[in-house]
Amino acid sequence: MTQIAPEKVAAFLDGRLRGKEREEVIAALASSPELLEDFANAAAVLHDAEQREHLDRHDRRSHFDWVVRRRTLLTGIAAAFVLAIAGTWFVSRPSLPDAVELVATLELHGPVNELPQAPWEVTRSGQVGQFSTATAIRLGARLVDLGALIQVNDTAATSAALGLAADVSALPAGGGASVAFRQIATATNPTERRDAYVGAARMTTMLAGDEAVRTGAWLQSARIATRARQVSFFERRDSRAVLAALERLTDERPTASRALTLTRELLAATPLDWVELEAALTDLQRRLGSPAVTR
Amino acid sequence: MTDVARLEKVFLENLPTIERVSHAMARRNGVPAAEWEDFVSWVKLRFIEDDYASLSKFRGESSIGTYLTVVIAMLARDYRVQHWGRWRPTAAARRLGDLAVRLETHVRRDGYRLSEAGEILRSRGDTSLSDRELADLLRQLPDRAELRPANVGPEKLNFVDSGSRADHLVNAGEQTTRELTARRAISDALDSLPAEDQAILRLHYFEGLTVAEIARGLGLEQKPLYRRLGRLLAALRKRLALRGIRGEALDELRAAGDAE
Repeated sequence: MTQIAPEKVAAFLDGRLRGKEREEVIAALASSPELLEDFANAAAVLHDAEQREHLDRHDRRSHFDWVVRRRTLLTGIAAAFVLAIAGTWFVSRPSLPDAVELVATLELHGPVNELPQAPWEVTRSGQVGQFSTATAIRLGARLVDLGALIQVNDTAATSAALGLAADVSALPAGGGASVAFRQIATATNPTERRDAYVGAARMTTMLAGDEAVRTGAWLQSARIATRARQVSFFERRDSRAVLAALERLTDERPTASRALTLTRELLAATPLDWVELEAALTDLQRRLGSPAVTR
Repeated sequence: MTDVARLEKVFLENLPTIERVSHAMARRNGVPAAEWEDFVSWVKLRFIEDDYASLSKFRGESSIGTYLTVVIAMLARDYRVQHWGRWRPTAAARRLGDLAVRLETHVRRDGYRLSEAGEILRSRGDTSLSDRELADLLRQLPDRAELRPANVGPEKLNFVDSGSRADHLVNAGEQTTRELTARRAISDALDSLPAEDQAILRLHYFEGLTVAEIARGLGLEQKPLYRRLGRLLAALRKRLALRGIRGEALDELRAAGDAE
């Protein structure tokens, strides 16, 4: 197939060749389709193995962080207990979950054939550049849809990622997030796709308005959970933070406030009325995500 | 310790790497899951034969892991050619993942109908997608001629071609001519570029590698590579336009992924 010895190609892949030797390998790659194919396969497998190793390291580090967090949590609880005894009233405010965390809590099985349809009547063009809370709410919802598609390995994830890549590129400093979404579309394996998704979703959340994007993501996740009759989703400890964020967003919008009140009542009911809850969540999402209503 | 005993020790020490890389290579080359173990055994035999000849050629210029990966990549191509001729999964299928590769293999290489391929994949637990969803997936893969005759049962005779078949063939012929012209023009345009630029474009378009994988392979920084790829494409499109080839030809070739 080629005059280049396998070890030379391996040394090249290890970055150990310089000058003439390096040029020789590159010239051979450009002229021999067989060598190029072998090289491509070797490079992809090595890259994949390195990514896995990186993720494993990250997981080990996350475990360590969890231990540290747990210790911090225990110390915090003890401090809160002392403060309570001293008569100090302390209210902790849990942070809002983002799209990545929300998708991880959804119980998704098999292909995601019917994600809840977007309830707003706005086209993609002309809305993102003109940044608003409504845009952020819609982006949050689309991040969850994409995460769900990736989680079940649905091929529709490619077009969803490309759509988001186009949209976030219109955001100020959205180039990096756009590239990350394109990486999702071109990723060759699920690990790489999930990895790129985490980066893209978190960048978008930061760029497009943290609280509104997270709230939009929660609303869409809640609709998916409602369809799946997933009670555990509504028992999450951060529900209080989400409702508080929704309250802030709906403060100056009377119609959205009414929709939120209804949603609150339905969430407090036991057992949950799934049909009514889905309708209320859809209505709330429509009111918050539609520019005509939010302005 | 004799030379063979030393090589055997190297082989045994690196057996987990050989097995891991062989599995990954089997997946990339579209080897059906049922044949993965056969493939791994075949690779191990190739390493053992002639008193570990391929290991004896290792001089330590690279890491042993990378060397084994390159050797196994070459062995995988030999295996594929031995077993299936020149057939290999398209870059588009590899980009879309394992399921697309398996679906393409059953339909395009083995000549199964979509429903039969779906049945095989579902019964193996490879997917729970319906035939309709698999058809959507298959539509994203490029059409190409079968490279060898496929065994067909008598049930194939129950299907009669429609009258549009002749038109379809004429159109397909015209399309093939257009594609060939475009490929020749692209090949000429690529040949005129510096070797590293050629390698970048060929790896991206014909081998379906992501920018991250190309950066890893060629030892380049990933971020500037996006811009460089964009510039190279623009230059290539310009050259093609001068020869009257529209820029979309590049995208079609990317979908085919096996242009050369």
